[in-house]
Amino acid sequence: MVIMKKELLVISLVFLLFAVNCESRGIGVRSGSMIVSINFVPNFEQTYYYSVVPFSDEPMDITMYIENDGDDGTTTSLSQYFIVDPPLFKNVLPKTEPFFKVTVRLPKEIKEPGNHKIHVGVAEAMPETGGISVRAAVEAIFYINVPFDGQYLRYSFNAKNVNQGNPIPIEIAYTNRGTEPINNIYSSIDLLDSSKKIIANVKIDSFVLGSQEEKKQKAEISTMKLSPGEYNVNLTVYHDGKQDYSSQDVKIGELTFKILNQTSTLFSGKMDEIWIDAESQWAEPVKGVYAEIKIGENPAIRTLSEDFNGFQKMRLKGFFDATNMNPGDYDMAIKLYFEDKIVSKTTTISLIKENKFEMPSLSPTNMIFLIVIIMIIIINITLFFILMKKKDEKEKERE
Amino acid sequence: MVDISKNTLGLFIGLAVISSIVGFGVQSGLLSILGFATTATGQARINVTPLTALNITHNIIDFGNGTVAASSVNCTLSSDRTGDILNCFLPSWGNDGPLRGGFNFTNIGNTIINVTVKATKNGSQKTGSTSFWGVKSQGGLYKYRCVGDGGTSKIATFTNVNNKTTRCIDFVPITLSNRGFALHINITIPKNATGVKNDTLTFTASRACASSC
Repeated sequence: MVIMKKELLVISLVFLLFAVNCESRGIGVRSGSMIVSINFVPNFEQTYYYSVVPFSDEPMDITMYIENDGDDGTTTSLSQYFIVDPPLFKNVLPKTEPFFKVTVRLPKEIKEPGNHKIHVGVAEAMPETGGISVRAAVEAIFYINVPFDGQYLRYSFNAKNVNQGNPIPIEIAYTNRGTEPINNIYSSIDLLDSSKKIIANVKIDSFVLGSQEEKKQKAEISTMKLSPGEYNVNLTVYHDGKQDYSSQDVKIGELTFKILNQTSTLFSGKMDEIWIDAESQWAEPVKGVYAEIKIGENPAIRTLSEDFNGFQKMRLKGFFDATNMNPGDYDMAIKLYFEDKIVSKTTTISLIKENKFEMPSLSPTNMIFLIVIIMIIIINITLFFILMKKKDEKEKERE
Repeated sequence: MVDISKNTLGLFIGLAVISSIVGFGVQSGLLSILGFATTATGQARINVTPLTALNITHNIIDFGNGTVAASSVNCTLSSDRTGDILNCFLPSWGNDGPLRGGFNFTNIGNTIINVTVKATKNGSQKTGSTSFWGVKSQGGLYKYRCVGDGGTSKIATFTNVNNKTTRCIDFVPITLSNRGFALHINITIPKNATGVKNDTLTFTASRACASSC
């Protein structure tokens, strides 16, 4: 009975854990101010407008909230400078889009520099159902950029993979998060080959970057005399007597594929899935790539065709009929077709016998023989216990 | 005064009638309907406001009724069918969703989104008010993971459910074929589990990039 009670409790637990309602619903926010970046100025004030879009057949309760990020590297709470009006919508009807406004009123001074991140959110009201329930929310993100004392340069750069003959486009973004201007910034870009030898260099013009200002620069490195392969782009940024470095790998592509790996073992006597892993060496998408695989003297099979993005690795799958093949090692010839080109690879594949548990087949005579043996064993065991019991009884009578 | 003949007057009246009809036709667009070529210039203006939106298309994981098997110390239910169903004596894997098991979501806005998840309970805490299983069920586990057709999962493998904001999936696209994603629940029920367990998972979408990305 105790066990029964315990089991009943677990039954109710499992049931209630997942018994929640099943309607499709959601929430949206319509606004051009979903990501807002504000460079701090004393007493900054501005109002932003949002409309709430409910997705439900039933009226919804919707709450608005303001939260500090907590993971933005700052500790000052700036949510106190945000005012939401109204903070709650009750019974929002389907196909209505009520709007609310967020007013940001910053103080004269924020002592802690950095990128303060604040979340302005719109969420369904907490569900009242038991078990594990889910609700949707949408947030606008506000960044309040408070400058650091002195100069504070942040920069990032991006170099893109290209095909042979096309220049490598490079974009550098600079931001001065300090209170003082940076009077002389310029950059130098080196392209290094796999042996770390500098094979190209580009210098970019200098400029002045004021406090809280941003600037982007573009450059290109020619690849006309370079072979396809992997390279490294090193960026050095010089700013008012200081230097900063960063690097990024880039690829120069050619229209070909690498066959990286393939099925090495199949089961004989059945239809098997067979695959090859291929990697595009081209920076642009390549459509309709497929492989033909020939094993031994069997007719070649064709895999499904796939579209590859630039430098993408993908598995091409097909099916091979090994029904009439014996276990053993066979030659496997792979031909990969793309555009009007072919890449080939020859390897070996092993066909093995699938381990299956099979009932041994017995002739009727053997079956009868087996049954007789089992019956003799059972009779012997029974007789043994009967004799042991009688022996015990006799010993008890003697006592 | 010059006398105008009846014929001349008739000609003028005829020209006036024809010019009126032609003018009316041009103004009303009748000529273009009748197949005459007309030329016109115009401006079309449309202001598409970004909509950031998240829809919960399937908000139930129904494993049905069951119990921990007498021979097991616990059993694990998982909406992606990786649990040990035989230890649970359950009739289904909870994979009754229209698309797949788990809670299903769709990016129904017109911007690429990042999605975070925040629970009210914690799967790794064994004591306290935010502990999912509580002090009496120390063997219980409560985990989740995010998977998407598009986007980049930030909780690719089952991880203890967290009551702090955690990135679920980044860059969920808007294209119809891969704008969906799911959150799978993996829950280990200890044999001595008692009471009803509650939790609410809040999924929050925010625009992934300030401009197109």
